[in-house]
Amino acid sequence: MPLLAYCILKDDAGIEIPATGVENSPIATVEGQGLRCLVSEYAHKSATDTFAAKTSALAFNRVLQDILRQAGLIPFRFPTILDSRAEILNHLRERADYYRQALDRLGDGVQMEVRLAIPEEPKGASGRELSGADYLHRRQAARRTLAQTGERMRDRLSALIRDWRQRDTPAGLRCYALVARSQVPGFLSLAREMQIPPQTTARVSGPWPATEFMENQ
Amino acid sequence: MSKGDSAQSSISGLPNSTGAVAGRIDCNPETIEQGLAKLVLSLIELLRQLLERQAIRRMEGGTLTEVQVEEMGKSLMILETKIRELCDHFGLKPSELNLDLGPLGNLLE
Repeated sequence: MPLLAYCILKDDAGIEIPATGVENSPIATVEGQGLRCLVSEYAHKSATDTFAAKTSALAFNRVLQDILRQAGLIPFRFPTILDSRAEILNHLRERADYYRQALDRLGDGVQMEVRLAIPEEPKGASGRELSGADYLHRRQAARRTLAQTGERMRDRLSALIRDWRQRDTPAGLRCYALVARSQVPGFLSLAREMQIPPQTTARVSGPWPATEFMENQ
Repeated sequence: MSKGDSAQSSISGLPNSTGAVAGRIDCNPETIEQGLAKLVLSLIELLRQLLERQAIRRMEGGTLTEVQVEEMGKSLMILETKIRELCDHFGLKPSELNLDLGPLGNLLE
């Protein structure tokens, strides 16, 4: 049966692995090159069923969160499916250096995320037809406000973060902070207390695996 | 502020890794039209966003006259409205417009 890959971690990480994962399949470990890859058999029932896919994605995330509470990890995209253990071992052989270096560099760091956004006014809320120039100026002002808020947030949280990255997206500004696991409560508390401009929303989430701080290969 | 779930990105260099289920085009005969509309509208939305960014950059750089700013803004606004109308027509939410590009991430982000 095909195998669903969850994540890679160091093989010396003394952790308790959840008994079951997606589709209630037992989680197994494939070890090689000083690394561990967590997998479970995957019947692929959720490939065409949206509800089943969501249930499986949530179960997948629960496994990652369980591990992340205990050790650093590199997650796979869901669903990453492999034919056999041999294929996983081959992958570990090919990319062991990259994974080891990434796990060493990230250490006990986890990723926190702050999404900053300015919800759009419903059309006609201002009581007049918007001109083309107004439209562009509003977009420009929103981007500036978000960028400034992101900067202030970064400054305010600087004592707690190891690294910071941000991305301008259509839905707003996504800010990612690399934070030591022990600093997560402090980060959440400080981020939630922060004053933000009116009409701006901020959504704090985490901890997540530190994928934004990995170098892509 | 609230703590909530977040879409999670991840890393994979595996040749056999599959894309996210939600990112696939549904080729079911009953929904193929919606699947294709999603693909096309996602690409148009990408272009609209690129044009908007470029327009703002040019506006900030002072290379556009007031008339050009008005025309560009109007065009982008109309395009955005049309995309929303087409989303409604095909039973899509604007937030659903996206394509999973595998290890490269999402198209619209």
